[in-house]
Amino acid sequence: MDTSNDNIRKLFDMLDNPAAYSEQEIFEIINCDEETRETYRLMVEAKRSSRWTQPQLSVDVDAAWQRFEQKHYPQQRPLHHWMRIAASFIGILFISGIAFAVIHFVRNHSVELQAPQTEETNIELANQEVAAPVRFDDVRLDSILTVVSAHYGKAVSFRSEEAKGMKFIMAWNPDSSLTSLIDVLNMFDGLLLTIQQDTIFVETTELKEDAE
Amino acid sequence: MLNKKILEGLFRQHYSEMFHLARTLLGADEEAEDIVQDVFVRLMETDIIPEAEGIRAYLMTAVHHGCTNFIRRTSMRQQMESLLPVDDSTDLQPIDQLTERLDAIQAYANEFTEPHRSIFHLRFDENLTLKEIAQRLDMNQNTVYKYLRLGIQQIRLKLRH
Repeated sequence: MDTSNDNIRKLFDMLDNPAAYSEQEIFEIINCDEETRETYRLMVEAKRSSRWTQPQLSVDVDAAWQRFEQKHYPQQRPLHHWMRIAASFIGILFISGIAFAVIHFVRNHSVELQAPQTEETNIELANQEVAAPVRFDDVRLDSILTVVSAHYGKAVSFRSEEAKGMKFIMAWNPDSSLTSLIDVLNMFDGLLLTIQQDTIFVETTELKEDAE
Repeated sequence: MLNKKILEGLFRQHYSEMFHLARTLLGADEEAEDIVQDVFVRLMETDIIPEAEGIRAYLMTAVHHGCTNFIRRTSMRQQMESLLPVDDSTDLQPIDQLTERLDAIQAYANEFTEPHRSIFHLRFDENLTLKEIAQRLDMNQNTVYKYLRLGIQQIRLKLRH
């Protein structure tokens, strides 16, 4: 019968040469008696004690957080430069509370025609029950504001003839606030809209024309 | 779900300590990181976090339990090769008690006279086999075995008291 000393020797040898022992032999050696089990347990603690009390290796918490974030939060595709600009612009529009598909700004210096079709469209839109979103396709600003102002219960006053003829392609969400629409339109160079009491005032800031 | 900014704050504040504990218990960096990440994943999925005073204990205990569960899933061979516990008795104690015991073991080992002290540290700090220790210290392998066994017995006696 193996003595306790022999069992401990076997344990040490197994720890130094694990490949030489089968899974079953490992189990039997560790559990052969209480002394051996206790010795193994203390060796586990001694090893852990060594790790615990050694100077902590510097941990790169930033890198660890990045790994965690990439794994557990939705990843965003890398954007090309032009996509970032577009995304920022669209982002600003969404922040403004208005969903725009495309905004295209065309100055029309030469044409002041009130095309009948445009007029009809204007009238049609103004009289319709406005459902979101409303799309203006290359429509003059004065026509757009006719519809918008009616929806918000405001009057419109153009201080610039040129501003009337500015054309836009845009989609407007009537559920958004008038202020947010004004903020977005004011992003265009040369155009300034202000609200005073019940009136929307429109003027250009570059080429001043006497609107009166 | 827990607010991301709050989670990130907790992560940055406690990650190092949690990782150190997991690495102490498992002896492997990759597994240690997995355990710590799992703790934060569970935290992420909850709307309730412990009060500020209790958050550290909560997180460290969660790491402790995570490591215990991980060890249970490993084979006996893996446990033995990494000097992991083969039963839960070592790991059932509270986290503060566990770390105090680890500090105490190292303190007792540092009080050993030579060659006990060198043999102990070569075995557990540098993972040398008895044969390698004997070669390093120019000693008989059987002598190294006796010193190491005696050192373990002394630690056991001190811990009991």
